[in-house]
Amino acid sequence: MTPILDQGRFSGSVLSFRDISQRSALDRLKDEFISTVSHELRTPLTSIRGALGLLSSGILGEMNEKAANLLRIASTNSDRLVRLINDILDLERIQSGKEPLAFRPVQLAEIVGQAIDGMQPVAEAAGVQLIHDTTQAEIAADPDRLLQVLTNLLSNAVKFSAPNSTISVILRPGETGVTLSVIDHGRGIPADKLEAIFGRFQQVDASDSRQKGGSGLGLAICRTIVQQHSGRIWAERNPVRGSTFRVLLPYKPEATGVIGLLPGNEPGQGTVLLADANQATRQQVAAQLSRHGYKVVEAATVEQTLTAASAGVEAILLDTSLDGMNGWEILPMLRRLDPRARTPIVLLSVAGRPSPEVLPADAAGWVAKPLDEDALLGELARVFCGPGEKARILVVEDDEDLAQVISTIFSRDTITVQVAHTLQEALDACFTFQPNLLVLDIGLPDGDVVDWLRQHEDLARLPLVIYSGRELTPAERRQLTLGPTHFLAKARVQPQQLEALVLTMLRSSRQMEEASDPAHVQQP
Amino acid sequence: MPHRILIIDDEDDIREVAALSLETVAGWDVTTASSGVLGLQRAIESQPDAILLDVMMPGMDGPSTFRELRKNPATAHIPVLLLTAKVQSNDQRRFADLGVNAVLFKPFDPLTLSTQIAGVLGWK
Repeated sequence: MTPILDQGRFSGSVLSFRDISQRSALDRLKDEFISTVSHELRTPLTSIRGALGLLSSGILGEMNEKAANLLRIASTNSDRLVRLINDILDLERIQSGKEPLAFRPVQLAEIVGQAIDGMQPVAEAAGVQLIHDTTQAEIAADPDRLLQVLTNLLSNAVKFSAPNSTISVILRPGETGVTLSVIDHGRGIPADKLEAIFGRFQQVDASDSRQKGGSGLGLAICRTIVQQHSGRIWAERNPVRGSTFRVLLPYKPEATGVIGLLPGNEPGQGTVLLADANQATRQQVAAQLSRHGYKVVEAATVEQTLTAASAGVEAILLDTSLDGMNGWEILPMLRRLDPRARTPIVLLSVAGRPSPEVLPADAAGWVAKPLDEDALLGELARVFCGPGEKARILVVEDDEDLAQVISTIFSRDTITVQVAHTLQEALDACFTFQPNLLVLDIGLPDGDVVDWLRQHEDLARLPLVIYSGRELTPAERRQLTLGPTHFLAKARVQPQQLEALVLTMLRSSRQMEEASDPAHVQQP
Repeated sequence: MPHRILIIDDEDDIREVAALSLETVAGWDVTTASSGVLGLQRAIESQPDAILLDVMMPGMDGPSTFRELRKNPATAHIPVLLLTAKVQSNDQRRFADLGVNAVLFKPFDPLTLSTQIAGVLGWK
């Protein structure tokens, strides 16, 4: 993920994948490591920056031109190192969700104004003029993070603009959200780099990093923040000269649908009853669930829970201490409403995980509090897949260890996993094993599985989870998309994410089959 | 009369660079101490106008030193600014709860350290 942590080491380690319950221990270690490393790097840098800054300012005496120049170089680069450390820490914090966003109604024009005020000194020094329109637009957002995005975009625009040019910020409210544009007339970005610049440590060409002092992470940070707002950010070449960076922000972050694991439109996941006396927990969980396409009904008391359950829901998330009653006392009550146990119940509990014998028969699953989003989604997806035909997935992966790790992820689910190590094995398995879904490493040396699948009509609609060592370009993704397809970058996927993704895709795919099968009789 | 600052930090180089910065840029008088215990002593003896206090120190750390400074009537009135490399927000929250006058981050800009301190304390 970062130059500090070689993610390749962690992803290969037995500790991170073999036992899913150890994941949070590893996460904590990683957090402490990053925090400690950040502190350790800053300490010597303090002396370096301090010493060089003083020398280079001339305040301690004149020196010859060559010496002064060398000092300037050293000083500028130590500043750059500091910015780099800050950005790495920032990106890690934002991406890991360590600092959840605080959404409030925000007047975008105000944030734009603040960003421009902040950048004014730098713009003046560069001889560049900053202008903005006065369009009013209110959205739900985290104002500090948005300010960070805007400041970053403006800072880039100023860096790459010539003196006496103008940078404009325009707001255009639309149907579902507002599009914010930052337009500059600098030297522009080559068309083939418009997407790549949002990757980590990407700059348009090598000379930029030396001259402009950027860390290469600014746009990656922007993209992460914008994604957390359920928005989109992209760059365009201006017809005459310069670039336009556009940010689309929905009025309400949940409104544009799913983000994170499941981009695009997924069929509705069904209604979940969320029974928890704590309002803050309910709000947080309801938000997470709706982002992934679930409809949520909330209940704060036993009575409300029973009422909502009798109206019919597809799953119940039940806090084990509702209304002072032990959740396990509520279970029989819920079961009386649903004698054939068709609605799975997942217990939410601060207590340690009960062993299978202790978990009450009426409970289909269990999630620990404080609630981890991936754990919750994974468990929900798992109980939904529930009794019924076992799903079959084919994992195409030539690396033995990785294949073993992936199979283990699904070992507690009602899923049969088969592994194919070569193209030939994969092709054979498609016919004999008849998988419902493929998990596919595209680095396979002996051939292109996707190409072959494309040529066989009945296989071309299979759901695919494609797994790559590097980020794929949009063009590559289009090439590889057959049926419902999702892409995961090896270094960044957590085992619970892969499990939740696969289970949810299996469920969607089964729902679509059932919906289109005229012979299927809907259960009342 | 130039302002008088006490810098408490276990890192020799940081004490030296910070002291030089405040002396040459702002013309202030600077004394230093390499530990919380020594810093406490020095503060009682020299009665500085402000104390720049590191957080991560062996023995008595920054927050403990701060509490001792506030407990002692001889030093309780002296403004204290933390100077720290611990920049994460959970750390920030802890520091805010302590009740220090301000938190400054390492690495600092040697040319503006004195302006930052003056700004926080309302000095000219």
